[in-house]
Amino acid sequence: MNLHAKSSARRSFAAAVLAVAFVSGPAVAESVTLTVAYAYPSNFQKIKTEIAERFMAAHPDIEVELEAPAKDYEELVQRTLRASVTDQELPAVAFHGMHRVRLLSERDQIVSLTPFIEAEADWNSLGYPASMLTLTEARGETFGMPFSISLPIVYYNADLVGRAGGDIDELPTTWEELLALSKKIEALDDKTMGVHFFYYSAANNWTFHALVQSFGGRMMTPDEQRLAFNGAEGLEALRTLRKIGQAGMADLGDRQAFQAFSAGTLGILVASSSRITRLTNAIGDRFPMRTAPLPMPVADGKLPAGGSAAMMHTRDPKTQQAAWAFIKFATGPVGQTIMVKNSGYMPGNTIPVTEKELLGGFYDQNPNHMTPVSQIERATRFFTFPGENSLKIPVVVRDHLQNVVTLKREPEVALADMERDVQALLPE
Amino acid sequence: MRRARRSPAAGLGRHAALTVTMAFALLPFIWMVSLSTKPPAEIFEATFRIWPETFYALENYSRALAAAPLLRFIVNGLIVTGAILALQILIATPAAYALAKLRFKGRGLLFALVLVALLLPKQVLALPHFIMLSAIGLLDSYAALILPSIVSPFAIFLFRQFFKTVPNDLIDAARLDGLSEVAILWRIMIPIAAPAIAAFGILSVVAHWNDLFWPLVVIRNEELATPPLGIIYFRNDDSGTEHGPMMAAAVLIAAPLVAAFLVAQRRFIEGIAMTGAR
Repeated sequence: MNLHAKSSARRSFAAAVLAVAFVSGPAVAESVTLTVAYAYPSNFQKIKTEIAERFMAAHPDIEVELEAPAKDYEELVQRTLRASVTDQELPAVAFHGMHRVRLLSERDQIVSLTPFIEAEADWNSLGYPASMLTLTEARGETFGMPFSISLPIVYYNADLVGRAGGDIDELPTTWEELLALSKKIEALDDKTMGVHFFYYSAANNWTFHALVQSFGGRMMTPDEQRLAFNGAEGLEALRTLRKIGQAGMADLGDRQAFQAFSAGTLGILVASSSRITRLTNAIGDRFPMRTAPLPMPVADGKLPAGGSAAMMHTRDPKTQQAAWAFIKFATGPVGQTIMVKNSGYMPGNTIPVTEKELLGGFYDQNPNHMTPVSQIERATRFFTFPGENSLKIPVVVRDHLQNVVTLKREPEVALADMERDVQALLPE
Repeated sequence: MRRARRSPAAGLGRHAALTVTMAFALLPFIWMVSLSTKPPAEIFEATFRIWPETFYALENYSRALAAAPLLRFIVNGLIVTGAILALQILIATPAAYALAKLRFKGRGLLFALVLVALLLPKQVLALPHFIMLSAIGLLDSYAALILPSIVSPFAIFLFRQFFKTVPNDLIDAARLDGLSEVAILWRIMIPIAAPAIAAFGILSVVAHWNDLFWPLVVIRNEELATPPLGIIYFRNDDSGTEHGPMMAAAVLIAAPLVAAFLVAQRRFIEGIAMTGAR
């Protein structure tokens, strides 16, 4: 708020100068234009437009201009890098995928938000849990404010679970139970399929990271000097994938699997919580759908948080103040309430979840959305490998995962291959 | 005479073969229209149905029009494809005329260069075009969408082949009557070449109307976006595509093209048949 005082003080000073210079004539308030870029318009077009309108109503001196949306986070990053190559002006604020913090900050495309956070008089009252800000950390500084968050969860077709003799109110909490249920569903008739584990088209091997972290492991040591997924936890993750393959997961494209689940022929789907809303709509009243957390083999297992965060590109101090105000608004109670009500994502701010008039009622009516929220304390930063090959490593890893799921390779062999290949792509 | 030789059985077979191929070509379009009338819950049903149980077209089309500024995109599409086509014809016809009918040194070499340009995929030039447009500050403008496409080697080639078939006597007679080369081009060659120009026009408009690659590279301002961006509004690999509104948007975007083709159909087929550009 002191920022406001400052900028209005500056404005009245400017007005005074103008008044002296022209004697008569009304003083024109200087206004700031913020360009804002985002991706996935089918999720966010309505949300971003509404947030921009509400923000402008509250800040008449700031004009928010939404850029043409990018198809996905990768395209948004490409657009950013292209613009920086040709010295085009970057948008003041952009909602990038959270896993892109590393790349964008290493290439010096985004500004650290830590100084802005430290300048806030009463930061702790704004509803941002400290754990949330570690999701967008790089080199000890915060580079983004989480806007929309997703975690891997399990979707169940309640009809098929019932027909297979399962109890919809006692859904599996271990992989053994889950896969036993999957086999029963698979055996119901020749059209039903048991389980699909979303991994092949998951950006940056998201669900594999989730498996490793759920067993208590990590991809690299905290100092990023050595690989860490090549230990016992990584082996357990691959063994789980093999068991999923043995339980009869078809080598089916992820998109086909989502369609099969919507059509009612697939019993269990492991995928991102971001799909809750669309799957619910696509299923209609064909069958009831239930969601459950990913099985947690160890008590303090973690999960990598997917989703987007508001990041700042502008380096102009005056635009930065307006950009910071917008970022706080979009990730604050008003913006996050708009976001959750219109999408399947979780908020990055705790105020709207607990306030009854904001989102409290929403979760009572949409219990499936509560599953990822119940796992929020497990959320950690979504790891990306360092160096130039950060986009190539996931492709290599993905192919090894496929070898395990399709039972072509033993987990031990695949893990050794994976270790060797990833090591070769890491910086010296 | 030819008609008499055709037996009814052969005619039947011909029609059957054409019907099958046509069905293959049309099925995706029928499916597109069908999906645009279905509610989300009916799109992935296990049973196949063309007409929906719950008629949902109103919801899909209004969502398509409300979520994406589709009309704006369509107007932009008209502006961009119209400007590209006009400039392409303006540049290609004199070039084709010179290559077909004028004798000058290096004509063979120039024509060979046109053929080489014909072989280059558009994407090869994307990076140089992008950097040039950035250097002159034209990124994110209609000019950025239009300028890289105004010289069409294909149009030069097509029109040259067509102009070649025009008898030299006709041009000589015109010259004797005192017409300038420009007047010959505008008053004789272009009217004669109308079918070829119409054929080229369809191909050019369709290509640039549907182009997604280049607009996504140069356009950041939503006000300037072209029709295919309307599809992107509903495609989503993170939380699932909205198939109904996406198909509704696709129908709306394809409609102007279908209308234009129906109008220009006869000319188009004439042009293809006469120049042998298949």
